[in-house]
Amino acid sequence: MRVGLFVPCYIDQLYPDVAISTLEVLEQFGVQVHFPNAQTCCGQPMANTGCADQAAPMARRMIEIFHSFDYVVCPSGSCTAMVTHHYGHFFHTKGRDAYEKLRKKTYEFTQFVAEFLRPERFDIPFPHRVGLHQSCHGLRELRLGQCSERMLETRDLAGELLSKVPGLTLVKPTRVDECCGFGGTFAVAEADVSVAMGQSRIEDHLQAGAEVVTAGDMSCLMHLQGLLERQKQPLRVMHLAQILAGRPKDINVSTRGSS
Amino acid sequence: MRKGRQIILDRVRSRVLPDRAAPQIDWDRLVRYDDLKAQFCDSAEFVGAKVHHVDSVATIRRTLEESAEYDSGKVIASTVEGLEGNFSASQVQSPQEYQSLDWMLIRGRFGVAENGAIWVPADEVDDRVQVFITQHLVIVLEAADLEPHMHAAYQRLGRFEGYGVFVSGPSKTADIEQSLVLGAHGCRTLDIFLIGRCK
Amino acid sequence: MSATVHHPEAAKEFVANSERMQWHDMALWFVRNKRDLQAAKTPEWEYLRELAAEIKAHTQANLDVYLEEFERQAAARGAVVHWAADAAEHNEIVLGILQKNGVQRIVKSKSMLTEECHLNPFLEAHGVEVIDSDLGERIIQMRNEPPSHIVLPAIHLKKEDVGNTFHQHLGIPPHISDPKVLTEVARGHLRRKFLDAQAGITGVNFAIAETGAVVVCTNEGNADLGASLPPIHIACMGIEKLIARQEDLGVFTRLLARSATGQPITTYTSHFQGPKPGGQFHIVLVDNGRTGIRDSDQFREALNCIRCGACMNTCPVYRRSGGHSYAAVVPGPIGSVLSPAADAKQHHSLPFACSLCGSCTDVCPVKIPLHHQLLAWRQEIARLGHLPASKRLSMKAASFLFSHPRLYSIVGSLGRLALRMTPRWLLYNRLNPWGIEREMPPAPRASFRKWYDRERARQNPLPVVSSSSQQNMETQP
Repeated sequence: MRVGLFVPCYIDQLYPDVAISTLEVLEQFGVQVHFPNAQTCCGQPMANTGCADQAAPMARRMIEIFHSFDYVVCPSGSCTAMVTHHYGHFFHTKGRDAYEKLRKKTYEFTQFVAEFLRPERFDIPFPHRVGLHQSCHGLRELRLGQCSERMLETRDLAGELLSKVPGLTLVKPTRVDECCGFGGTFAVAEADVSVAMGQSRIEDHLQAGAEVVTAGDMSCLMHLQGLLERQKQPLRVMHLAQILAGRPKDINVSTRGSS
Repeated sequence: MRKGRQIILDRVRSRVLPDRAAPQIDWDRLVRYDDLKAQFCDSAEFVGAKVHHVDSVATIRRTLEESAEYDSGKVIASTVEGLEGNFSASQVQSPQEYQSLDWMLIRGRFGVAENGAIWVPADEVDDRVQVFITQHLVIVLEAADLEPHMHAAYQRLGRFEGYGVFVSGPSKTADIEQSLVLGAHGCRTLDIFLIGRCK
Repeated sequence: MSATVHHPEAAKEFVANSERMQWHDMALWFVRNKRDLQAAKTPEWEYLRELAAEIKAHTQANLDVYLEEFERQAAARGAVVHWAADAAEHNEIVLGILQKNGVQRIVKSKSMLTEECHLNPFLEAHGVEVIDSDLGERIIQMRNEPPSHIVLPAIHLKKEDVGNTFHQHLGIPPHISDPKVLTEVARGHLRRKFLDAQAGITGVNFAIAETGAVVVCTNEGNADLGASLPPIHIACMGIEKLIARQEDLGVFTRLLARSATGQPITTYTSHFQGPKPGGQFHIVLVDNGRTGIRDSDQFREALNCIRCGACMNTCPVYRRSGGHSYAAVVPGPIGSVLSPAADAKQHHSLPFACSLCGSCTDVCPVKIPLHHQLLAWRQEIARLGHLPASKRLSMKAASFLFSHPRLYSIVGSLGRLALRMTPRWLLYNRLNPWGIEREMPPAPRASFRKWYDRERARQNPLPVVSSSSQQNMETQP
């Protein structure tokens, strides 16, 4: 099984350890992982701004870059959903089959680990109280967990994986799956509402007693981290892969201020 | 006046959509209640009604008289056989005259367990406004006349003529800060008298 | 035409009053919670949603047939059916009925359609007194404000605001804020209006083609009083309110109130078939842009909407920006789909007033893919050229950059370097909306690709991706 690692652009540039952790976890299970370095971005920022013409070449590049792999794994629900749920109209006329192949073999990280690798437990303990932030696209497009709006029982993949980390205590915010307010360019275009939404998430997780907020999407956490660091809150953010890879809870703390 | 009609129909017909069959409901997938009467009572109380269990119409008045609001000096109209009021609809010229009604006693045709709603067709009253304008509403219902849900309710109704309304609880509003207040424009209270046993 | 709406600015104002914003958020979340409890108690909830969407799709596909059948059946039961291609024709029809009967005072129950057609100011300009009879609507009518929510029109107001309004307009003593007392005051005030009215206008929740029935759902009983006391009842409806069969009501009456307010059904579900004895019953069927939405494969399902407001209650943006920030007849997710259909330029910012969280799509009882439609609107708005230049150009630049991996890598390194070196005062200013309340993300020295190059690439060579295919990719148009 050859897996192509699909690393979202902002993770590549701003949170390399998230990609390294993803790689390490997959390798722990004996998966052969490659990172094709022609990849850049899946095109979501353009698509979500309405610029389909600018997103289309990104979609075509993705097919080229990953066509030789058995699976494509991505540590982001949002970027995965872009490929599996929002590429269709780029290949209406041309390249439909090639896209179908990509769509079927592309998996979000937690989904791939929980469904294919099925770990019994993880080795490195994480003795902390962890709040799980259910990132929206992973939840409501990929259905990686129970959506509070839907009256259908769905497996909570991230929760299942976290329950296999020794010492970890999962805490629950009252609004279990409210959006954090990142939303890509929304975070800037609607900065005031975005910040207000992020603030609610933080307060909810603090109320639940979380020391660390984790998620399958680092973009949500980047937004929350921005708020937390400005307010000098002790609450930390970590991508799920970082917890599974055994990183310490301060791994993402920005060192910019101290240097 | 035919102008709009033609424009709308032309617009609709200019875009033919692939037909989609009307769905047939699979009744096996619908909720089932073991105890219709208990479910109906739960639902009716949830929506703010008060449910009384009686053996016959004859015992209703006694129960009513125990209620603090009820007073035989008030204006009471009834369309329930065997339960007389003191207000006669025969002298009424316009619906506005029902504004003095304190109590309106009517019969409901059947109740719905899932939501406490009761079907009241226009022919159960002298004027449909009585249902809404009275300060307090009493609905008498046979416990045998309960349906589990709205699908069954509409199936039971079949084709009917004129006006009819499902009444579920007293009138209410939460328009001021989401605080629930009973008695908006319609009745302030709803008492349901369930007669006898379930079928 | 009204001025172009800029949602972020209006939202900023709403967010600025943090205490009120949080109160508004929680007030609506409370309703969303009540909806969840009711939906959870209905084991076939998701099945009902599917049925509702199928019924609507079936009706849309056969709309002409059902419109004519409805007209025939309603007329056979004594109703007069009118057709209005647009808002102006609708208003003229209503005024015509009123004038013909010498009506000067009417009561009107909630109808988003008449709001959309701006019926009230039109009738008032022609000397007709219009009293909105829904409590929330009456409050905002006194305040001369538009509704901020389609089910809870006065949800933006606190009880003290309502007390003040009643003090000013109804002469009650100052500083009364008990909702019970205020509701009682409104009951007395509106009772007199109901008794005085010469005609009642109502909206329509559902219209049944096979029986010609019009179904109106309320909790307060205001539609029913308004349609039963005066001799004339005028029911105004968008043509999308039509459904084929009476049995379809079983599906919708189970979904509507549970989704809207967390009640198992509205207090009153009135079925009007023909006029009351001695009265008149008019039904006005209105298009006003609906056939245009029906034409569109992308947006047609927006016509499924039964105006429950659940998408507003769940929307994290709506809850924190308030209904008025949308400056539209219908706010929130469904409003942001419908408003650009009426005027894309004026409402161009609304589809972007959304984090694409998708909660609206899942909460919608008739399965409108709301967040997908909002995304589709963003494309439409870009295509129509209504996207601000800043967005358009930055996305072009990004696309170019992302098409050139080496350049992307260099720019990335430079960007991170800049992020590390730039002094705070230069980094955090008003031109950087991210940084007003948030720290910038960390700027590590090496990107993942640098790390991979150094640590893994050699012992883990790539299987295929030839340079020729890369070349090929980069030269694609």
